[in-house]
Amino acid sequence: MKKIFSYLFKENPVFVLVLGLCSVLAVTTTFERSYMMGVVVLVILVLSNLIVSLIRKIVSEEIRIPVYIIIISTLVTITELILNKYSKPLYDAFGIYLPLIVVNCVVLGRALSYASKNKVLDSIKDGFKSGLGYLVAISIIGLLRELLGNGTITIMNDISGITGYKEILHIFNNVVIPNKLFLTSGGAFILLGIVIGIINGRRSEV
Amino acid sequence: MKFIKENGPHIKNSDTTSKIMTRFLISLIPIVCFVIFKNTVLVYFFTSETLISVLHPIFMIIVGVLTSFISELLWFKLVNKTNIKTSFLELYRSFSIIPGLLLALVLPINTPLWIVAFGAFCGTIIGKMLYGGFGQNIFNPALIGYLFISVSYNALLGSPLNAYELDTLAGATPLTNLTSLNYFGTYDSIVGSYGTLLNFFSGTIPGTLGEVSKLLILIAFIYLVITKTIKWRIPTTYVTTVFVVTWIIGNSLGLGIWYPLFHILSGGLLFGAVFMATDPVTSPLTPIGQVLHGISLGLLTVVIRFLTPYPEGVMTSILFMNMLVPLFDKIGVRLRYNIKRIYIPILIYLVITILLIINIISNINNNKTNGIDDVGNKVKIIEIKKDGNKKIYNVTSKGWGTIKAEVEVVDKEIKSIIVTDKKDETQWNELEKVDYIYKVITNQKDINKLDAVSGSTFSSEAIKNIIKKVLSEELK
Amino acid sequence: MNIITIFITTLITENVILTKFLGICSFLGTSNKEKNALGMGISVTFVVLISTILTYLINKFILIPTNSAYLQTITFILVIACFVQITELIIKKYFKDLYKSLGIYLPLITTNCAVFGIILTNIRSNYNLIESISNALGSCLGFVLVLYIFTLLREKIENNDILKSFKGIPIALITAGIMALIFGRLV
Repeated sequence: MKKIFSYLFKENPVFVLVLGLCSVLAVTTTFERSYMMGVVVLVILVLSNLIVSLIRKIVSEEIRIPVYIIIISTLVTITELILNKYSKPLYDAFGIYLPLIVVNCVVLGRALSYASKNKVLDSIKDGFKSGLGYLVAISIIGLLRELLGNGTITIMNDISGITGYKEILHIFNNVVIPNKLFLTSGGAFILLGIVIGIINGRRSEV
Repeated sequence: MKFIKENGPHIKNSDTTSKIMTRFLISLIPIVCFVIFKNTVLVYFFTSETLISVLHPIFMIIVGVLTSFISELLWFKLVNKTNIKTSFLELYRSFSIIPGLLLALVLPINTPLWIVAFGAFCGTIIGKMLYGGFGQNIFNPALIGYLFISVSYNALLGSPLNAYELDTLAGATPLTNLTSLNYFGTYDSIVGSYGTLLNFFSGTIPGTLGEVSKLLILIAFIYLVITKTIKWRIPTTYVTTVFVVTWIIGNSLGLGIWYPLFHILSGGLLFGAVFMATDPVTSPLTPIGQVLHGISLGLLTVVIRFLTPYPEGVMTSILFMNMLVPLFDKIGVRLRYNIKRIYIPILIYLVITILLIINIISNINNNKTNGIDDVGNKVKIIEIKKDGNKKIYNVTSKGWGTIKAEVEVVDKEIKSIIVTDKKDETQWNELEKVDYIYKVITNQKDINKLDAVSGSTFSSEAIKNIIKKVLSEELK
Repeated sequence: MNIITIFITTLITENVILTKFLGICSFLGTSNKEKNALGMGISVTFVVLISTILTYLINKFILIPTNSAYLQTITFILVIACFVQITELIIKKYFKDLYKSLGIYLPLITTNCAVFGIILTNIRSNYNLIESISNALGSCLGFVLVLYIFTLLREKIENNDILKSFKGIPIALITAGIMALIFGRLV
């Protein structure tokens, strides 16, 4: 148990390295959108690390950044096209934050700092680790925001077109009144700040 | 040499801080007594309310005070891990009850007690303790609590009037009334429904616990200034700015001196100016900075009151200017060494004020000439879909935010309204409770006679405006 | 929507940082010193304005006529990337102190969500050129304003007795959240 915790939280890109916050705050209004964004980022991260690591010996120092950007934006464009075709509600919900994965500090950051200097297998593992940390982080924030702000947990709604499964859990059911603060942008900032503060506290104790 | 940068209040020893805070609390006592008399004694003897419900305002004050005290105590014990004795000493020194007390005094008088507790807790912990405790906060903790409450539970706040006022007076507070009249009217329509300006001054008008008795606030102000407890420049410049700007506006519209007097005597302006804007920790230290602070507060309050759907602008203005305090102090320090440069801020403020006044006056005049049936730009028809003799209007209407709706029309008569987007309409459940949409459709021929739903007048007006616009389109 | 409405909306109600969450990495990174904040604000404004015009032209005259709207993401980000390289070279040469302190955040202007995000908003809302520039100006002004105010606040609480685990980023995020709530109550 402790090992999993340290794997996920010790160098968590969102909570510890404080990268890629734009989408963590923007799309976490429902749980489903959060974990779907996490999954998308995970997939793109692994693939981009893979490709960057494969070509790392060929690419010279100066044109590294533009080349990596082209790779990542190609992957993102493919994702955009796939999502647009198979799940329009999710595509619309993500809005501008789907193409913004291109400039997500996590993706480009891992490519520059790790994948460009290490072997393919290591890069894939690193991509998976960072991506999983990101997925867990964004899912926690999304879960908290939706639960506290709306009293529901959306397991699957926007992508029910693909999976054919729709489930929105209604917790609390008017016994505890949902607090609209968490659905606002300010509430997202404050929640993230408090979560990071608590995690910092736990980290310094461990 | 080591420079130590510290935040205000820069006081020589803790005894001085205690004296200031004690005088502050003393000045609040008459106000609290008056409010207890007005909201509990009067109501109990003149209406049929039960004793428990009439004591609600007192409970609000007690809950607020206790919650902020206990929150801070728990923080010291659990987080800072100090022992009980030191904690109580710290609590005594830091006057932890003040945020809770001030919060209870600015909330509507029928606020549920758990909401008061929530606000006091958030205000103390997030607004004060997280920043390092007494003397280190950026924002006024009571107002942080107020902010959190109005964002989280705005729909649950309850009526701003007590039972006695609901029986005898108009259904809204004076400022809400003014907003629904589009900021223009006669002495009778704006002031008359509540009495005379003397009523406003003495406090026999609807309002929150702290703000109503301007007489007592004035006495408190004089006491606090004589004993050098508060920064007098801030309230004076604040109130003067509001007075001057509303006077110019009123004069251009042909309204007498009662208009600016009404503005400074209604709402939380005097209370906020004297008790909240002068908070020693969250206000500028330099004299020039304080003057700039006061003027900015005045201008922003006028903006919020006249250019936004919110009727009252004081709390938000004070919070906003809390953010700018370091900036004001910076300017204050620079100008102290270079007093000739003072024409720069004077010029900027003059330009802003003139633009503001022109904007407000043109707004009011626009609304005047349009009359009540012309909804003008408030409703926009985005598209009309035809399906046989059935038409679907896709419209947006201005409530608090923008409401989107689809109106189904058959044979020039509205059959149904489906609201597709109402996320900014915080009081929407008030409309749902009375089945307002059904009422609106049933009364569509005579829509002006239908009252708005109290507590959500803007949303009601928005729905009524949709009917007016669609029907006028149909009659073309 | 007319130009003034767009300008005021992006400045206050849909503020780039506080509502749309764009540019947070640079926001948190450069807001500890006033000089950095102003430098970041100016460079972002410069990059955004010119990129807005360029991407609008490319989109209108190249991408849409050839039905390659799906190439928007790739094209726009390359335009921005080239532009940021140029800006970086200028800062490196003429503002050496700024370069030293911005450190890791300089190449991150390329990945600054604010720049790319404002451009995407322009395209997705189908603004024409004037509206796009108005949107860009409002967003940049909002960005600089919020960044500057935030920097002053952070400098103020620098020496506070904040809880150790909340020092730095958490308290900054909470402050930003409160600012967002206040801005949200203005309109």
